[in-house]
Amino acid sequence: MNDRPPDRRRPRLTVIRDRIRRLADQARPAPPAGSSFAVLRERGLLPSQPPEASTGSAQEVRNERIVVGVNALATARGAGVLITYGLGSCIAVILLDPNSRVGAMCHYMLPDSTQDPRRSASQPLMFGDMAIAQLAEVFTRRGGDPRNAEAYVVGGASLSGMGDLFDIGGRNARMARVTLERLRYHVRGHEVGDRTSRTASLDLNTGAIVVATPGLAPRRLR
Amino acid sequence: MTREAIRHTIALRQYAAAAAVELPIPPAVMARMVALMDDPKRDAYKIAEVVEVDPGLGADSLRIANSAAFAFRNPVTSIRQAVVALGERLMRELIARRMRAILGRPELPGYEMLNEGLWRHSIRCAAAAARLSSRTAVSPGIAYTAGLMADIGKLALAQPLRERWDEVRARLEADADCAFDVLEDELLGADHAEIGAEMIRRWTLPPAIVAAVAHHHHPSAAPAKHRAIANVIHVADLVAMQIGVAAGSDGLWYRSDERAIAALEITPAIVEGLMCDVESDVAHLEELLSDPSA
Ligand SMILES: [Fe+2]
Repeated sequence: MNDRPPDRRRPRLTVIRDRIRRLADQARPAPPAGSSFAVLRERGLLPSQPPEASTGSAQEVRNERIVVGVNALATARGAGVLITYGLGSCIAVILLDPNSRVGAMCHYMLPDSTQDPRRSASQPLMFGDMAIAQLAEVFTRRGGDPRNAEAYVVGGASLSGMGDLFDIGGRNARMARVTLERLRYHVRGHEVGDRTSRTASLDLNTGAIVVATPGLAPRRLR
Repeated sequence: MTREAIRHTIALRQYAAAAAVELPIPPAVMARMVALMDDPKRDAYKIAEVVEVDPGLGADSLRIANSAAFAFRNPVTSIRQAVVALGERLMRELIARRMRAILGRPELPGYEMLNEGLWRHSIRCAAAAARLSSRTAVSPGIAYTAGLMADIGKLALAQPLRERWDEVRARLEADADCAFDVLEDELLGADHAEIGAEMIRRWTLPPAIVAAVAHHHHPSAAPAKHRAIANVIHVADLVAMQIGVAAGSDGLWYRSDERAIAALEITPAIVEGLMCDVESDVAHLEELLSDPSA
């Protein structure tokens, strides 16, 4: 299988697979109670029930939970909750236009696409520089105004003791800062670094941005 | 044995007994599967012979070979065909899916892992271990199996950890450089690695797997003959942690073992490449989570 000639259909297959995975993510049951997620749910920041096959009631739209998988991105407008789980050294970047209530979130694993041209061609969302550029694009396309936009950066944890070898978290966070600056997005809040795994959510009903860590109380970035 | 050592051994046994789990594959079948994975001269015939012995595994084999993940052009109708198509990979798939029955808890208290987090971390550790094994003489199937079982001891420590979480948290906040397994040992009397080894000892797996589980957070302390596999599982676990997808309250609070990293000649590019490869290796297993028929 490894010596197959480069296949031009590959990127499309990857896109389709990512789409299937996103759908699968959305169908996944809500995490059970008894954790910091329960606190989020109590405060109405997470829906109490997983989204059902939509019958289109206003309540369901309000609570629709869009799970952003690894190396993926999503947008929403006016209602719904964008959430991504388990950011280790990965980074979530959130863009929010509070006027139009357009939000976008990506979750990438590695900093720099130029380090791996082969993979970045088939999975651009895996790399910070390309993921954030695409995030800005879909955010604008969905109706977000870059001049009103607020950016938030979450994740980038690191293991200790080995300097650069396991400091992908630090490099991921730097790439977020540099890329957002280059695209002229203002970083209004962040929680990056240290050694904890995080879950980040943006509730478009309220504009709340919350970071949760297993075993700790959730924090509000906005 | 000092009094301290005796107390430690008793704590280990108590934790392991309290969390006793059955091997999800009949022990004799498992032993033959592991032996075959370690045998460079195995062939499809020998693998089929082992899998066919157990009706459940035979049915699983057909289900795996016909799953969307492998998408063969024609339906696979016999175990022999499944083995020819998938080879050793079939055995790894069987073990990973069966281990889900043990590790795939919807919620693990203390470690606060959700959505089968322990299993999802373990399949990543296993996939990374299989890939890293090529840097050593360890066979990929053995590395995979050890990686899958590395953190099984967390099942035993989950509840005790939750009960003393406030102390654990205070220690983490006080010392940015502390290691979670050391905390477990100090506050709960044993760490999840050694408890895990104690739990699987009854499964009559090769000693290398038990040693790798026991030493996965400090492989340099493993006996010389098992050091290579311990190094592999150590680095594989760090890679899986770094991805973070299924991390718990212990987050990335572990120390890397410099000697293991030097022995495997790990560079940043290798770590990054592994993170990508592992995510694609486990994608089809992740899809099982949303498939009620799986
Ligand atoms: Fe561990």
